[in-house]
Amino acid sequence: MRLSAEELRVRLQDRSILDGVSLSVEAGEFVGLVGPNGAGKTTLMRALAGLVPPSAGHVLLDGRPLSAISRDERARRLAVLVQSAGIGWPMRVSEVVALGRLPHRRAFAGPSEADHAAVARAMARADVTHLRERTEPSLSSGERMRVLLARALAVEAEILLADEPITALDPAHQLDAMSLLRGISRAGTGVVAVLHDLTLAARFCDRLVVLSEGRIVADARPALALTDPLLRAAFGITVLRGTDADGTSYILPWHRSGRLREDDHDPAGQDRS
Amino acid sequence: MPGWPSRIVSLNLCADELVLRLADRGQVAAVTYLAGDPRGSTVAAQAAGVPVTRGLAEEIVALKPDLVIAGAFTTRTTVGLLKRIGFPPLELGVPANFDGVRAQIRQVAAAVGHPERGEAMVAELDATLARVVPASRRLRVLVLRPNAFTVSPGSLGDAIIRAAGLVNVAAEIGRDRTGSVPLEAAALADADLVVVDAGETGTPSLADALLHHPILERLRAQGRTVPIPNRLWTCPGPQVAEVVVRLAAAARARTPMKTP
Amino acid sequence: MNAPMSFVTRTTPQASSRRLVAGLVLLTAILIVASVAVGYAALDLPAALGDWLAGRSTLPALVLMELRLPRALLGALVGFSLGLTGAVMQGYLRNPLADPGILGISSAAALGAVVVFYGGLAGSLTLALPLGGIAGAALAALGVNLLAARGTGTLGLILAGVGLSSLAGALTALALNLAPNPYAALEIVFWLMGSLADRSMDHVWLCLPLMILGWILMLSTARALDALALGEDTAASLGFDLVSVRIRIVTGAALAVGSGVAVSGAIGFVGLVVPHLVRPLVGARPGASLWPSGLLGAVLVLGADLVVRLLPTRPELKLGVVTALVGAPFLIALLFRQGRGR
Repeated sequence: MRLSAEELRVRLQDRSILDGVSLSVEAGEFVGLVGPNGAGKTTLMRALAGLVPPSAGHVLLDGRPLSAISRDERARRLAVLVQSAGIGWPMRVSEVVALGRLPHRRAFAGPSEADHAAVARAMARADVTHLRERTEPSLSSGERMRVLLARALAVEAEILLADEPITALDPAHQLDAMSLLRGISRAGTGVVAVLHDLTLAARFCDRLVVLSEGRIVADARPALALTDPLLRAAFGITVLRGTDADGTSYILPWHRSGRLREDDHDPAGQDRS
Repeated sequence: MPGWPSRIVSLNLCADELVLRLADRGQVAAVTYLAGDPRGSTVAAQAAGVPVTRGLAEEIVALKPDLVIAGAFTTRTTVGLLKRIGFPPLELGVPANFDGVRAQIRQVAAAVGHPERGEAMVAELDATLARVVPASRRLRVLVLRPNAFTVSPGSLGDAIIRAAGLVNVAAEIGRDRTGSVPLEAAALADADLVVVDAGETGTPSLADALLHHPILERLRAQGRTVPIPNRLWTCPGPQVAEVVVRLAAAARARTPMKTP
Repeated sequence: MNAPMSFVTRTTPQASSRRLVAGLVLLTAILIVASVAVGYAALDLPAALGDWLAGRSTLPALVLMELRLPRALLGALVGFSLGLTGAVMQGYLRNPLADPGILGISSAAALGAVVVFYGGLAGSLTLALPLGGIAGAALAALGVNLLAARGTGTLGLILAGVGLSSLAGALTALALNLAPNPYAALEIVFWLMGSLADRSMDHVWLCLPLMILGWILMLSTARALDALALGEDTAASLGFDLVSVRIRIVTGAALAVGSGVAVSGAIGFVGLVVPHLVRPLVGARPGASLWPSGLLGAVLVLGADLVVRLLPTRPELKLGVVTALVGAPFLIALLFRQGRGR
């Protein structure tokens, strides 16, 4: 099981957003996609999910181009958690999570036993089981995020693409969500998550892909990817580095260093946060 | 001839019909735009070439008429204005019987200066009525005009039906304020004869489409419907005798089928 | 281990929805019978039915089959179309104020039907009348979709609908005034307010196949509407072809509303009100409200059509008058609630 991009280029409204991106994620891997605002992270996620057609290059699922795979199969194999999604109607949480089973449902058939079990598992994993009868307007933004994560988990896909899954969460739930994503990857799912928190990204991800101005500038284990020169060049920051009592090293964004070109304009309006 | 009106303006279709028949062509300054429409008018041919108005006060004043003839219900604003400026029009009533028709013919004939033509027209009307052979049985008849309007009891149409020796079913069924009957009440009234417009195709409207409702088509298939052009009923004039003749003839044609 | 909990999620919403649908089907059937039984003249129903079954074209049998029955059937068909279209539009646009009347689709359909009918096209080709209505409805539905695709918000769509309704209404008045038939100008009330009086089985057969096709297209989007509650990207990632969904909704709404308006005029507010009445019973999931909304729409129009016949006003009120008397205050209340919520 492997999702990969080869020399991917995406142009939106005559602007180049992705300029030759190649990467891959394997089953069992937790990949963090990091980069400053406007780097093209969301566009890359949408391209990997088949939601935006590349102007050049391919996205391959086990070596087959995504465009050659049927919508239904794609929907079962790739789960997507989009950025800052809302819930359009005051649906019950259990109904929202059950939407993740739609790709598995047969025409005219109600949800099967397997569907109910998957929904229950997903709700338990995302810690929303106690919210099951609640409806949208009564959810906090953190609860909503976890409900939507549970929805994506309910697909039980081989690959999970999550765009900023922890942004709206409090620190405790951020840690829970990162453990959860890592746990899912350990269970055999390939996970790609767009993250802004470099500390948590470095701590939980197996590999970090750093995107800057539509290009990949690093793709390696966190310790190798987030070097001081790269952090300065791509993010315009310096970090504190240290080691906790268990000997695990960490980084902490600490100082601004120089100007970040991407700050001034947000080219495609795709990656605001 | 001095004293005769030479610039007559008519503000009403029924006045148009009498004026165009009774006055000389040269006396008529204008008639209504309805007079030239063969669908509603019995004088469409005579109206050809005569100037028309829509009954607006300024149109009328500009024509400098010496006689204006109006109906009892139409162009009331113009009539009111003409009265205020001291030029009252001749207002025609709505006759409810044949005597009223005769009186109105004579009234208009006198006003346009040709009383003898009025007498001749009345004589022709009476001659036609005298020729009518009423049906042997008093068949029940229902008139359906566009929008399912019918002939109210006490109206001239009612008198026409009675003159043909028939019974107006409209008296038995409920009509709304406007004189329209529900189609199902019309059907269930079980009239022996249903009088509809003469089946001219014309231009489409819902009002006319109603008269082609399948239930009426079924009555037509049973031989119950009698086509008589609407324009013959519209106004009091010599043509109403023609309606009596046609109704009586239809009733005679229908009678043997009813009593084998 | 999760058995009791999953039991709750599994059975409650679907079973209650099924019960509701069954109840509404029954209610619709009862109202159809009531509609057949109520009329302006005394009709011995059993005798009429007996005559018809025996193949005797007696007057009561004709009145039953050519007047009462088509009126009742059209009430149910038009009501189902309006209720279903309202629920589908609200789900698709994620907008609780969407309705074929408010968005201008009904009045555009009326304009299309008027142009065809008074232009004389319906005389040469009977199917031209519903097709005219469908063409008008399709143009309006497409326009609404384009606006929604550009990210126009709730109030923007409503205002666009108000504009489109006024324009279509004015053009309808113009077309009727230009129509050569002297009665035409008086018939605008039918087209803008709607009526089921004195319709025939011809009208039923004319719109039935087109409506059913429209219903199928719209009902086929139920799951996509559920997924769209989470946004277009999520819906697409769940395997829904959004272009196909949009085409099915626009075509379905145009077929159902266009052919309905062509035979009954524009009856407002049914599509707006019905989904809101249904949601407390079946939950907010858009797909769950489609069948109940259609059926409740049928109930509402059949009920309104009974009211106009039972009220002593003659000529009878237009249907749209009754539905607007119920629907317009409802719309105002909704707008107030929205205003408070934001």
